[in-house]
Amino acid sequence: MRDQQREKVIQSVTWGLGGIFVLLGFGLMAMVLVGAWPTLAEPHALARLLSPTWDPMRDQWGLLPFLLGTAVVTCLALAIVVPLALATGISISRMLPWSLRPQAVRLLAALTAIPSVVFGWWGLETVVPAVRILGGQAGFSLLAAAIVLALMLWPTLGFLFAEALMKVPRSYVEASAALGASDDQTLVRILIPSAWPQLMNAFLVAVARGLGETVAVQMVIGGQVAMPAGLLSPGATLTTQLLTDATLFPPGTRGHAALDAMALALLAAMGLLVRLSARWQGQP
Amino acid sequence: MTRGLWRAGLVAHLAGALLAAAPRHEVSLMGATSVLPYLRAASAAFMSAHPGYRVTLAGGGSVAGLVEVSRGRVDLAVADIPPRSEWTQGVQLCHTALGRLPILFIAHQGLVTHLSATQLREILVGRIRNWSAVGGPHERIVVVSRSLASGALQVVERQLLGGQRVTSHAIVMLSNGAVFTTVRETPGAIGYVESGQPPSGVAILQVDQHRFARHDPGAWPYYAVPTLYWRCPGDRRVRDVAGYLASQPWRREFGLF
Amino acid sequence: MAPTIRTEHLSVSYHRTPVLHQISLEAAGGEVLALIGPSGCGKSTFLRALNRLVEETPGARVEGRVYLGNMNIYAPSVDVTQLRRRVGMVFQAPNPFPFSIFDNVAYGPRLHGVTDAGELRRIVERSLQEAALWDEVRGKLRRPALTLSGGQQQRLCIARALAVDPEVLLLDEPTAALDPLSTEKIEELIANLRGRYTIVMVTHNLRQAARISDRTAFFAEGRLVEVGWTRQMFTAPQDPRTEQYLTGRYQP
Repeated sequence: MRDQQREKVIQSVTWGLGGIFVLLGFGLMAMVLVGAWPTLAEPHALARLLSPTWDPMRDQWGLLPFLLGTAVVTCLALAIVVPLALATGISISRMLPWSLRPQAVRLLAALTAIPSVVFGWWGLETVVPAVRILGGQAGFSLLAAAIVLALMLWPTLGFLFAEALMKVPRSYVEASAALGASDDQTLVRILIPSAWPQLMNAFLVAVARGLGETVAVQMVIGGQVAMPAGLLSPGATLTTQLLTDATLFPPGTRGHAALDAMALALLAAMGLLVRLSARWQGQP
Repeated sequence: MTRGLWRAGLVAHLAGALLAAAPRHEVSLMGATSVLPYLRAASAAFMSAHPGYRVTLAGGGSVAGLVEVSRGRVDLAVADIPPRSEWTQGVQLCHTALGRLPILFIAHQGLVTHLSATQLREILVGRIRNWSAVGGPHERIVVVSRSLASGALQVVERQLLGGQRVTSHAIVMLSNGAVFTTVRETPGAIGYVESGQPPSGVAILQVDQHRFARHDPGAWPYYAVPTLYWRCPGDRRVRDVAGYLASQPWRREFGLF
Repeated sequence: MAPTIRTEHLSVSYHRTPVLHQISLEAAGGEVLALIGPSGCGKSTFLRALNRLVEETPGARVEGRVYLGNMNIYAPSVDVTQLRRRVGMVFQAPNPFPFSIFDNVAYGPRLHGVTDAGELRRIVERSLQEAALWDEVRGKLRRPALTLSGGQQQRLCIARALAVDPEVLLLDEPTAALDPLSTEKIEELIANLRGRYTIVMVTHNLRQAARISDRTAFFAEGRLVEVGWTRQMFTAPQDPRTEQYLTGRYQP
């Protein structure tokens, strides 16, 4: 009897918390949508938002440089980090002696907890000068941001990849070995295909973190509002520009609506990711 | 015996802390970060001279300060840009200037040491892009600027650029200090900082015949004017604090002339 | 003709703990040799030593010799890939890969370089027929293997092992996880494979050993106690421990 009551209480608390979570989520989306409405409702809204000029003092609200910056930095960072993280995941899950694997996983988990500002700081000290020396420009650049972001994502993605690969049943590996597969063949033909949904999920987590990262990127990207001319050119992303101009536009102003439009673009990108993750699930 | 004493001491301390935490007059201040060091020192001096007052400080930038003071969420704002109606929403603000804070133009070392105002303007708006055009080495110019929320940027655009905008290809930094470090570290860089203390490690540029010197601040033309704002008419405690902060002669030590 | 597989003084230890002592045993070409004995007696390890899968376990150490025909499979010159192609294995729990039925069976041939689609199809069909699964999965080869029943999955694993043309089949309690009907089918299948392959099978099911094996080896505590013709051993065991085990009174 008492157990039943307790179960009821626990259940209602769970439902309540779940409800709050959903409300918060929808509330946030509604807030951003309502906030962005002035920009979306005006004539030629899309053309204005996709213009390449951001000059709030002259009523120019083009988000294209930031959309491009976000896309380039995220894609480049992932292109750098995915091979590195896959190599890390494979070394931990396949090559490291059994006794060392838990320590290695714990080390990676600890590395994932490093605050992003530390990566930004380190990027400012090393990556920016390195890019400056190699590229001959200011150093603050999309490339520097992508490198810092990649290094920041490395532990997270390596950890998730290792976890995914270690979850593949040992019986698959043995069956493959018993059929005469070399370690490499087992990796390519069994481990990666079997872990594919988890690997894909890990990848999407990395994409989401990459899209959302602000501070570390802000510290090295240069914050230029013009269209970036190349990877070595400074630039800005949706999140860094939000951070830069957040204090400038109090709620109710035209600028605040533009910031809301940026937030909306980020939310839309995240929503797309969730859809993709649902779609990629279970398809090797 | 000793424990009894300890307890008595502890109770006395707690009581003291409680009394101190409940002053009769609380004044909150928020805004531009460039003058926070001075405000911190001055408000401490004010509180020790006026027991019962408590002044709390917060950064957040000029715009945030103006917005918050207009809405009545803080008592005082400090800003180095004039309020715009979209921030104040029509609320009438009274003001008193804290002084003048020099805006210095700085360049990476080894490029040039002086520029004409015209050259400086053409560089900042992005029409001159190589140091060789102004008598320096053949090196690309990297303009380092501040975000739109910065008072210094507004002063530069209004006073030096005559309403033109700093080039959109500028690298944008979020603080005075970041501009300074970036100019120091980046070859070809030029920028501007609010500072009464000429920083070392960079070239302080002479503009036309003007050179900044602490002993003769009148010879330098480029200043931001950090100003205190409050909602008119404001009660006495707020006016007291503002008046005190705006009248301390030793604010020169903090670069306020 | 399927080759003999023979061990000489085969010992295996894990992390210096011995689990098999000096086993000398032979499975003649084409016969079914059943390995019986209490849990933990080392018979699975023995099986895994015959295709060197034991080496995949960290800390394992193998001494002695194993001959497949005339070849010592632990000789340094031996290519493990080639060896495992000749010695197939089926595990206790059905472990099809999470791919389609076709891809499961084609896995081995593809590993060994078969790319021609027609040839792969022929191999898959032949192997499934040999494993008595063809009639049940014909026309459904693109379905995920994991949608099959447990018994079908195990026959699929047998087909997968047969697809690389092995000469020896190692079966590690192939029916332990299956219901009686599926077990019967697998036993029937093993009886049919007898003669074409040399089969070494670990089983806990004494009746199964009696039904389908030619000879039986009894292991206890890492040692080979007795080996002989199945009928003879089940009716008149030589060693008292064997008799105790067969009558359910064995105490280690």
